[in-house]
Amino acid sequence: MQEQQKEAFREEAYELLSELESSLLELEENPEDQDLVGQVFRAMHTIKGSGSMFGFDDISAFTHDVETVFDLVRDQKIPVTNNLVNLSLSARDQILAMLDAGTGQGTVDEVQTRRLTEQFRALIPGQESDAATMEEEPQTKPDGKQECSYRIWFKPCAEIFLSGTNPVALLNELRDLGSCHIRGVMDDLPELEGLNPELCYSSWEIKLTTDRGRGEIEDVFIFVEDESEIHIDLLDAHEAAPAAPAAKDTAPLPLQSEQPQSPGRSKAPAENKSSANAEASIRVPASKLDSMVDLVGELVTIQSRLSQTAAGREDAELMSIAEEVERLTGELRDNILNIRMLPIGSTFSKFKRLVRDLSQELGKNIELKTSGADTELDKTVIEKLNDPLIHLIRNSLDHGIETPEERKAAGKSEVATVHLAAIHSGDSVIIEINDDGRGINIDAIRSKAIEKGLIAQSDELSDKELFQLLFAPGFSTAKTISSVSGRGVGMDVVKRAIEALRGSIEISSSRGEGTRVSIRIPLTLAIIESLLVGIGNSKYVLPLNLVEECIELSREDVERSHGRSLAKVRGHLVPYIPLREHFDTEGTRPDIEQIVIANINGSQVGFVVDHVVGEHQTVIKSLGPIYRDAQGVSGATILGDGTVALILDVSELMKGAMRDEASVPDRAACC
Amino acid sequence: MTQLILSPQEQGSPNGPLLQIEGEATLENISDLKQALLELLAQNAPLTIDFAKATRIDLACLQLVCSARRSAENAQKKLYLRGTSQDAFRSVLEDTGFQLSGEELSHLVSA
Amino acid sequence: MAKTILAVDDSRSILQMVALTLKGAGYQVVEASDGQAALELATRQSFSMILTDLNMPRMDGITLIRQLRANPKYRFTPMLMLTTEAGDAFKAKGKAAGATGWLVKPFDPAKLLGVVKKVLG
Repeated sequence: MQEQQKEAFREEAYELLSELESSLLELEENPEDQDLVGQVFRAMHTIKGSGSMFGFDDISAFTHDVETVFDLVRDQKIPVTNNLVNLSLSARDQILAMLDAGTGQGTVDEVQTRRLTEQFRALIPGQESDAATMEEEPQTKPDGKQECSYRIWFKPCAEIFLSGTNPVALLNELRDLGSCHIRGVMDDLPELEGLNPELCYSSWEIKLTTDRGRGEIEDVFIFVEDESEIHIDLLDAHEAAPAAPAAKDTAPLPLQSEQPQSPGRSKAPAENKSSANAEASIRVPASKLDSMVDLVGELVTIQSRLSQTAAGREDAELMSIAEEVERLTGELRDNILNIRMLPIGSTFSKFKRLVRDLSQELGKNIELKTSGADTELDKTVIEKLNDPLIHLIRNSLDHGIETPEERKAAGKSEVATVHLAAIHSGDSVIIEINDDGRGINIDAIRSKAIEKGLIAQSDELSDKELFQLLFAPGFSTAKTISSVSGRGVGMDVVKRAIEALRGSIEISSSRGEGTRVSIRIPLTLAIIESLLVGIGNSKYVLPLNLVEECIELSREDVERSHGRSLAKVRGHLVPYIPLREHFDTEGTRPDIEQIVIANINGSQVGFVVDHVVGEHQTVIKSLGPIYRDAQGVSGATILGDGTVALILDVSELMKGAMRDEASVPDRAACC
Repeated sequence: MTQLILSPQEQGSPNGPLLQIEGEATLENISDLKQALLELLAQNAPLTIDFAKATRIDLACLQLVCSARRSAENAQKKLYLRGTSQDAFRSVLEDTGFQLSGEELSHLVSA
Repeated sequence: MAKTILAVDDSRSILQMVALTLKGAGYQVVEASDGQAALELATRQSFSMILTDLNMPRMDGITLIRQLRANPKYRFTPMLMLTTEAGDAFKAKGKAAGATGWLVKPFDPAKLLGVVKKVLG
């Protein structure tokens, strides 16, 4: 339980810290914005308060001074300056480090903690050691277990009911402390006419014999001591001894005060509970969602088996049940996948900080604009996009954006803009990074590619193809290596990361005007719409979003193309890959095959298969490590009848084919 | 919320109105009870308040009853309490450390 | 019937701790993460007690208490402030708004239960 609560705090603190970062960055731009100041204050306040509750004393103590400063900012006693924002960002990082250190990741630089604390304290006017004020009030401790008797006089203020206090509850608390005789007095009670029945006209004289200290008695009245008359007198031992029994003797009615509280009050039950809260949400570990997606995946598999079986039975009733199950499974699948969707905004706000820090480091003046922060993507996808995006932004800042002087000379505004946008497009999301920097020198790419032996001098490549060369391993056009974007080893890694998400990446650029990197990512990873095809006894699936059309390929067509794998599609030639050969499939080739035409990044390519089965809901299962290096296969799925189909990695297959083709000296220039 | 049913009846004892209190006679509805008592006390007849069916009585109600008794006394009217030996009434006396005093005690017993 | 307590705090971890503690002691707990949400909940249903943090977005705890006190339904309802401040001026401010009492953070579950029992009687 304790550990669980600590974990809950950590999770919350991480979230608060990321919000804090964006609030601080916004505050830097709008130093007068009181809402933002309030947000920063509250974040610090919550981190401090919750931290101390769950044993994060270091964090709580450190945050205390930061909170104090922002309280003063809130009262407009301290202005928001660049220095304050910088300091607060450092403090935010320090808290993050403390949190990380708590889970065994890294250590905390204590010197930095002290340094920051001192810097924050220096901002507080008239700051003295607050050790004195923080000290606990001295508690009256009972010395030993000795019983003492007290006479207590308690006259609550008349309005006590209206503050939610029930004086009887206080009497009951006294009863819990020891043996108690309570005598109520209603001397000042007016007649009915003049009575305000919501006021308290009662007071009490209490004799309490207890082994508890005076402090505990005072604690009973802690919430009402300011407004009420309270006298607590220690009766001397002589008087005390007979006090309790004497009290009993004098009670005219045998109704003993020591009896427990009044019977439970039965207030009407609260109706419709918290479900009424429209904004209610629950948090569940991502792993639970993942296993749910797995289960839905299995359900989808079974459902398609049911549909297949039903189709083969010609039983109308079974068919209609299968259809119903199909519909419901589809809805369930969409709902589950939808639960995993998160807005990409949290990732975007991280980049604000990145851009801010990097521009300072590089001495450039760069503004990051974002749009489409509420575009939703699968949680896993968002996480996996983080590193590639960081890399691309770093690249843009380092290589793309000119220095202010260069920009001025080129007649551009000194402030460069990087625009990060997310756009929803069908079953994909497009993420674009646009900068208004110097653009990419396409001739430089060309000569470099020739120099590196990636292309031949004679090769004629489109601009698009040339830009794609940037993603080749080890390709970099930067003349110098900077600490910001590194050695250019990243772009191929970026491309691989995006492809691992079944996405694609493209670069376009015009000299002097800027560069655009466009990433297309499917909305979700777990289940895809696909086309099921057969080759021999094996089944394969292709992502349906890439498939343009299917055409027949007869033996005559093959013969007519003179050994080259080119098919004529609507007037132009499309290269194709005979998958039967690619996968060394046994058996005989049918007379009429099918070509599935796919479109990858604007290039068409055909895949020759024996026959096309049809559309299929594919639940993606990753391949074990043994198959990780299998060329042209990205995963596997289980079909309705229980057999396994491999998921084709279409772009990988196309690349392989292009490589093979490129090695043929007199390759046909197509398209 | 808390419910309070006030049932003024003719056949009080002796020969006056009877206020039957059912449910919770507490702060939440104390003003209603005061109003009822004011009206009944204005009649020129002995009033009986019956707590036998009360499920809960709190300090505010106890104050009100005492105030009503004081008013009745000053106006030289009779006010009788019934059902005070039942749980609800006994509890409030125990909890608050008050005792019913004086001549009305005898009338309680008849309840 | 168990008493229903409305717990209000923008810190999820504290809210969770409060809810677990109170539920463990047999109370029903409804949670809200800011004053505005709490006010809306409290208007729709009824609570035997309100436990509220002070610094929250949208509506702070003092305003919440003041608004609830003005609602006839909550005139006599115990309302506790959960706070990191222990100063007198601040307590007076809370009391003036209609708070029944306060609980200074950090507190442990036992302390919380003690205070809740104290004001619920």
